[in-house]
Amino acid sequence: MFRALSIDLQGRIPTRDEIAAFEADGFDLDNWIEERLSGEGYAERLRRTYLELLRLQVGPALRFVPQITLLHRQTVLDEGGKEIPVYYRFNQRRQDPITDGAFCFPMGVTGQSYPTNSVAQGTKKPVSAADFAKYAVKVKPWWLYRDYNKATPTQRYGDGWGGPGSGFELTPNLQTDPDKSAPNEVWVCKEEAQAAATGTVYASGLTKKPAALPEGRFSFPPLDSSFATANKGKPISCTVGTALASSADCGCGPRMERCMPGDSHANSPAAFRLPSHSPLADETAFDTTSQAAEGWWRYWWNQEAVRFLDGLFLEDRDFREVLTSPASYVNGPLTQFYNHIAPSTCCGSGISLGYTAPVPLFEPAGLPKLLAHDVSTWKKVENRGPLASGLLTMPVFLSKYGSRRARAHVLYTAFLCKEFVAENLDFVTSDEQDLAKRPGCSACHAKLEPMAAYFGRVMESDWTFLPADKFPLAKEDCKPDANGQLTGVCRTYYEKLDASKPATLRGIFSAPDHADEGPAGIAKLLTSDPGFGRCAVSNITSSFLGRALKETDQEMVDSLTDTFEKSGYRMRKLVAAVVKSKAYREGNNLSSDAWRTASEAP
Amino acid sequence: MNRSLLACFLAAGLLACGGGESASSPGASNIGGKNAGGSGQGGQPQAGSGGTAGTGGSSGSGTAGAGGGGQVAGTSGSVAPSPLEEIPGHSSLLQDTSPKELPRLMPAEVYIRSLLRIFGPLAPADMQAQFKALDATLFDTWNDYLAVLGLPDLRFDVPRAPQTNTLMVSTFERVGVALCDLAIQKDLKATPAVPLDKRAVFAFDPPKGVLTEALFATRFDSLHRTFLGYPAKLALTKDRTQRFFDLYKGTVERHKNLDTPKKYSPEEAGWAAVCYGLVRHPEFHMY
Repeated sequence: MFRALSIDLQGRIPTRDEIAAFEADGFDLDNWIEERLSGEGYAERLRRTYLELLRLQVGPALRFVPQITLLHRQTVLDEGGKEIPVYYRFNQRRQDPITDGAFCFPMGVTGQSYPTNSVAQGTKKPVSAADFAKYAVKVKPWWLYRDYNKATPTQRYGDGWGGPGSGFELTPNLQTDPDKSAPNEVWVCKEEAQAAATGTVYASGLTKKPAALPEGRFSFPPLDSSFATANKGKPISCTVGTALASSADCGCGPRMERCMPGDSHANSPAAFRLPSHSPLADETAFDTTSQAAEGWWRYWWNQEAVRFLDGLFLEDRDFREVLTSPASYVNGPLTQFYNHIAPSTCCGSGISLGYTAPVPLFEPAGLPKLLAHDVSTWKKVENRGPLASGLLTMPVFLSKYGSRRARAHVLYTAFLCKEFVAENLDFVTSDEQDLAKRPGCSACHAKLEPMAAYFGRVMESDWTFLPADKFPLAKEDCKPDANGQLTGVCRTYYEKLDASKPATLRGIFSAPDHADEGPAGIAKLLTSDPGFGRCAVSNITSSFLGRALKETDQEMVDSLTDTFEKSGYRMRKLVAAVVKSKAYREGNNLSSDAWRTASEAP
Repeated sequence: MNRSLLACFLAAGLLACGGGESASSPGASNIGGKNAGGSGQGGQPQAGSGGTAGTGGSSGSGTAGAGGGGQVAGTSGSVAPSPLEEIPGHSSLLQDTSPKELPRLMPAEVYIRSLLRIFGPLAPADMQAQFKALDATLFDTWNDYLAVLGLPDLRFDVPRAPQTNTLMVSTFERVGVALCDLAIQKDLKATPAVPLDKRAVFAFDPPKGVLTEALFATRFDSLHRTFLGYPAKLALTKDRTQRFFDLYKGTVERHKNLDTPKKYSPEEAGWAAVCYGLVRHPEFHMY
C-alpha cells in the first residue's frame, strides 16, 4: 500500500530511503499522506485525470493562421548578389497600386513575381540599396532580441539566451541568413513594420476586378470591401483581423511584437522547435521538433490549461472554480497572445454590423508585463474580466470543442457524469426545425440545446465574443430571400427557425436568455447541480482505484461525496479520504500495518 | 492488461512470470551481447502452465493438486484454491482477509519517472542520449517506442491505453535492460570506484569471498526495494530471494564458461541478470 500511495501521490515508486523511513518506528503515515497532498505529483495526478476526461489539448487538426499576425519570407538579391530575406504579410494593403495586397518589392525591381503561398517565379536581379530603403526597413525583432523592449536592443538570440533546452528555440532559418551569417537586423516590408496601435481605413477605390492585369503587377489587386469604402479615413484598431485588408498603415507593432515570424513563403511556415515527446512535463522533454508558427499558439493554449489545473489543485481551491474561476496563468507567449493575437479573429463580416472593437474574453488590462519570448515566467492573473469562466473561456477549450453543442456535451459528460442517450425513441415524420421539439431528436436535444445556448455569444471554432449591443438576440431586419434563406452577414450570425418570428442569434432558439448569461451561465448550472460533487468524487475515486465503480461502491461514494461537499469541494480532503478508504486498501493488497509488522519480524 | 501477463497474475499469484521467477528468466537474455542460453533455473514451475506451489507441480505441462478440489489434470484455466497457510507470505504476515483487486497498470508517466529516478537522477533527454550512445541500433527508433507506452495523445483524442500491449511490454523491457547495463557500468565498473552512497542502483560491493545466500540476500533486498518498492521478505513468492540467487549463480557459471570476449565479469553479469529480472518483473509494471 505504501508503494501504491507513492505511485498515486508522488508519481513514482518509493525510494530506498523512503521505504526505510516508512519502516522506522514512529512513522506517521497520515502525516506523510498530508504532506504529499500539497506536492506536484498529487497535482499532476488530478490534472491528468481531468485533462483526459476533457481530452483538453489541440493538435495540428486545428489551423490557426490569422493572416494579420503571420509573417512570411521571400529572398531578394542585394547589390552584392547576397540573398536577403524580407518579411511580409499575405494580402497586406499598400498605397502603391503595383504592390497593393502583395509582396512589397515590385516585380520590375527584383525580377521575380511572388504568388501567394508559392515559390517566387522568374530570375532574380540585384536590388539597389535605394530600392531596399524605398520598400523595406531594418528591424531588430522580438524573436531575435531578449531586450527588444529597450531603445537599443543588444542581447541577440544565442548570445546567452534562447536555443536548445531554453524553451525558446527558433528554426535555423530564422536565426541566420541563407549564407549562414547571423544578421543583427532583419528586413521587413515598410507597411508591416509600422508600429501604431490604431490606423485608418484605406480604400484604393477599386471595387470591381479590372478587365486586364494592371501593368507591373503579377496578380490582380485587392478590391475594397464595402466596409472600407463606407469608412475610408476613419480610425481602425490595428489588432483586429479586419485591419489587414482595410488599412495600409497598420503594421506588426513595435519590434514586430504583434506578428509571428515564418521562415518561408508557405501558408503556414515553420518558426519554432517545440517539445514533441514530453510525458513528464514540457521542461523535461525527450525531444523537440520544428513547428509552424501556428503550432506555437496551440502549444501555449494547452499549457495554460495545465497551469490552471495545477494551480487549482495545489492551492486546494474550491473545485467548482474549474468552471467558474476568473483567474488563469500566463507566461510571455500567452501575454503576447492575449494582447495582440487573440483580437485577430475579430471581426470578420461582423464589422458591417458595427463590430470593430472586440470584446475580449480575457481582458488585456489584467495581463502582467512579460516579454513575448519569456516562456519560463508564469504569473497568475486573478481576474481575466467579467466574461471569464474557468476553463470554459480558454482558447484550448473553445478550439477543441468548436461547436456550441460539443462544448455543452463534453461538460455534461465530464462534470455531471451523464450522457445524452435517447430512450423510448418515437420517431415521427416532422418538419419541426427546433431539434429540442422535434419528435425523437428532442429526447437529447431538449436538454442539450438550452445548455449549448450558453455559448451563443461565443463564435464557433473561435473565441470572438458577440456583444449584445452589436448582436441583439433577435434581429428584425434579417429577412429571408426568395428561397426562404438568410443571406450575407445575417446568415453568418443569425438563423430563422420560425417564419412568424424574427431571426435569432444562431443556436439560442431554445433558451435565448442563456446566451446573455454566457459561459458563466453553464458553469453556474453545472456546479449547482446536485450531481456535480458526486460526479467529481466518482471520477477521482475510479481513477485512484484503477477501475470502474461498481454497485457495491455506492455507499463509499455517498460517504466521499458528503466529505467532499462539506469540505467546500476541496480535492485534498477527497483524495485523503479515498486513499485511506477500505476500497483503496483492498485494491492495493497488503495493508501498511501488515507490512510494518512483518518488517519487524525476525 | 496483457492476456499472458494477466494469466501470470491469476494463475500463479505472481509466482512465475517475471524476473528470476520466470522460465524465461534474465539468465536467458543477452548479456554482454551474447546469449547466455538456458532457462533461469531448473525444476521451477513454468509460467502459465498450471503448476502450483506447494502441490508438487512439475515443470512443463503442470498439474493441479488433486486435493484442492480444483481443475482436472491436463486442463488449463482456473487454479485450485490453496489453504491460506500455503499462500506465500501469509505464514509470516498478519492475515489480510480483504478481497483483492486485480493489479492495475502503472501509468506510463510513473514508470518513466521511476526509471529516471532509480537510474539517475536522469533527465529524459540525457536518458535518450545515453541509450543512443549505448546502442544506436537498438534505440534508433526511440521516438516510436515513446508512442507505444500507453500515454494518451489528447491532441488527436487518442485515449490512455489502460491495458498492456506487446510493444509496450517490450519497450519497458528494453529500456529497463539498457538502464541496468548503464548502472553496471556506473556503479560496479567505474574507476575510481563510486562511493556506495553515490550509487544509483547497486548500492553495495560484491563480497571479497564467496557470495553466500545470506550475503546475496542483503544485496538483493536492496535491489528489491529499489525496483519493487518493498522488502524482499514480503514478496508473495516466499522463495523469491532463493530463486534470484539461483539465477545469479547460474548466470555466473555460464559466463565463466563462455569462450568469447565478455563485456562483464561473471559476477557483473550475475548482478545484471538480477537487475534485468527486477525491471521485467510484473510487480514493477503494476500496482
